[in-house]
Amino acid sequence: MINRSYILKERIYLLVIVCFTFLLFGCGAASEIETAQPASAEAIANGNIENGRKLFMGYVHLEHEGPPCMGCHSVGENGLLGGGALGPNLTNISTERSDDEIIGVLSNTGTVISPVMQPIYKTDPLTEQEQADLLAFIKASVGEPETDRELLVFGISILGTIGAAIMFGFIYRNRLRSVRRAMVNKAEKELL
Amino acid sequence: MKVRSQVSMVFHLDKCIGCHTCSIACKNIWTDREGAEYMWWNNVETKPGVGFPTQWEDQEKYHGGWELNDKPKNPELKLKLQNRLQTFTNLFSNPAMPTMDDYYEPWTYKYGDLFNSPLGDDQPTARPISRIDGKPIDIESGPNWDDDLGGSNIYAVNDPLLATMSAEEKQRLFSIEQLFYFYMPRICNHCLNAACGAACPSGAIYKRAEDGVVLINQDKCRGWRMCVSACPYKKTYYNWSTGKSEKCILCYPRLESGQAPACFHSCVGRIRYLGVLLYDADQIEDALKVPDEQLVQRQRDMILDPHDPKVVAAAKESGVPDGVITAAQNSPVYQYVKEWEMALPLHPEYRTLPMLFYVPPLLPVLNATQPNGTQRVETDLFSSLENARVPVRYMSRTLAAGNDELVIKSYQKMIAVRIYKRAETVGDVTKEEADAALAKAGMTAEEAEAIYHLTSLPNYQERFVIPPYSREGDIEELYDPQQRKAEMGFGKRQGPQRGL
Repeated sequence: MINRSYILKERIYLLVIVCFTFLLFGCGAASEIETAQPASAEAIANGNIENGRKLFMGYVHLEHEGPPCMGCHSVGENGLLGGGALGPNLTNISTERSDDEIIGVLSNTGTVISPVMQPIYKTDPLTEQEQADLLAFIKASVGEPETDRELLVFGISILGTIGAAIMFGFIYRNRLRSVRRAMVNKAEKELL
Repeated sequence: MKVRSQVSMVFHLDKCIGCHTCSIACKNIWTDREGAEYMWWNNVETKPGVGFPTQWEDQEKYHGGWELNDKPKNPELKLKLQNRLQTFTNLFSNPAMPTMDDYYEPWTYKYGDLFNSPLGDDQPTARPISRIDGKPIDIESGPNWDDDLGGSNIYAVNDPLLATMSAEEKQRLFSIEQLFYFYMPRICNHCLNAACGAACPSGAIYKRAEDGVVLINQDKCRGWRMCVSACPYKKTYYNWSTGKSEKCILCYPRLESGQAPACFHSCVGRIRYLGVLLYDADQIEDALKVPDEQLVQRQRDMILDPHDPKVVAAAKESGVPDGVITAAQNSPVYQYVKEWEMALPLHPEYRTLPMLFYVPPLLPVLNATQPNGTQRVETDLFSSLENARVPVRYMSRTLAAGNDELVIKSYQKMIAVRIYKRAETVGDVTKEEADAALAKAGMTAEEAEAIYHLTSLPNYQERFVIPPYSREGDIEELYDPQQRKAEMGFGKRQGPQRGL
């Protein structure tokens, strides 16, 4: 007997693939990439430190869904595990860089551009208000202690791995190990 | 009555000489590929022994097969391996998996060294190297490491079936001049209630409708290896190269072209018989929910008489082709299993309903020798089956879930046939003695003659009654081949590939 459902199934697969392709193109057309504008002086004046902190820590989403700054940077005290360690610690950055340079990095429009941040925020640019809030937050943090917790994070992951190994070792403690080797060892022991 | 047909097998262990030709034939055709070196879809074991993989019969270790729950009033079958939740939690680490050491590390030899070694005082040697990583290894075991009771103080004494035997019985089994062992060739049993298929989380294992061959779909298999531990006979193997599991396919491409499977075809002792059995699929579940000692009888009851007009009508109604019914009527397997009740399934207590049956081995038959060196067949054989070298308990634990009666009945028939033929050809046994033997075994002279013929003198067509397959014809009847060719282009069909 031939399985006709096989042919039907393949036709359904084909249909699903075609529909999905259209859907993908549809999504692509809907989201147009906006170009970032550097924050105006007026916006900078309205920068809110508390909002900047929330944006930095990721408590509040960036409007275009870009990743929060704390993924790579630390500013002052960032909770138990500290901030990210990929980018530089930004606690005292506003004493080394001017406001324009910082806004230039945040909006990808200045003379100094971060080669790592540029591609990430190219498609998810920060709004003017967000740039201003972050700038205010960074400026307010000057003088706070710079905390780096890499060693703590490393230690926790090592301990976690050991803990998981012990846990799974216990769960699968009755697992079948070599039957033959045990048999041969026992016979050897009895002969000696 | 839901009649299904199954291509089934009988191995006549009394004829097996333990030559391993079947294993080699199978290996050369199917498992000479990378990742399959350690697989022996057909292997021959010495019994008593631990077999391949080591102690596969010990289901307390391997958790293979099915078991009944503890409620006698409401019996239910469940996999010994795990329930549904455990299938999920053990998905990435199945705890009952045999290790490579329980099979063996496949090896070859560095033959090139024989030719390329620099001139020296010593003979060059070809060192063994692993066929998995290519590094030199010390060979520690092989698939028939305990062949002919080799290393039996390690291997044979650890046979799981000996655990329940008394010390005296065990001692008799291994004492000099009383020594008893036999060979057991094993292939996939193509069970009616296959545990491998039930345990597969991907649903890749299926039983072919037309002949009951159990196969693993290589497109669907995800390599979870639940089949490896769930099969109580350990006859599915994991291919480490392709990441899929593989098993005996009963040489279905050969069957479809009317040839016997390679191991059957090449068998030197001609111990193998192949034929169709018709069975009632409605009875499968009930036949498994009975105490151990009734299992064989219930399995025999399930097998239907293909000569019965009612069965033939029901078979036709269930869509069994006429050619298959004819093949079932000529089946040597039906004769051994149902008509003569001589062949028994291997470990029916695993409740997978194996469809490979074994005629128990009678040799060596004698336990006493006359002073002049001759052996008196008729008295020794009969007076002392219980005291004979064949340990009935051991055989019944292997082939009848502990039911001694079934094994004794099978032996009585074999003995009666021998005495009957000896009275006829040699003449040192009287006809009365022969008739008494037949009567004790509950059989007629015609039946003895038929058993003698099928055991000793069968030709190729009598041993292998292969049903007509009409796969190509079936397709043409329903579907224009040109249209089929045009429509099967899109998809994931793959051509067979060798060597990988």
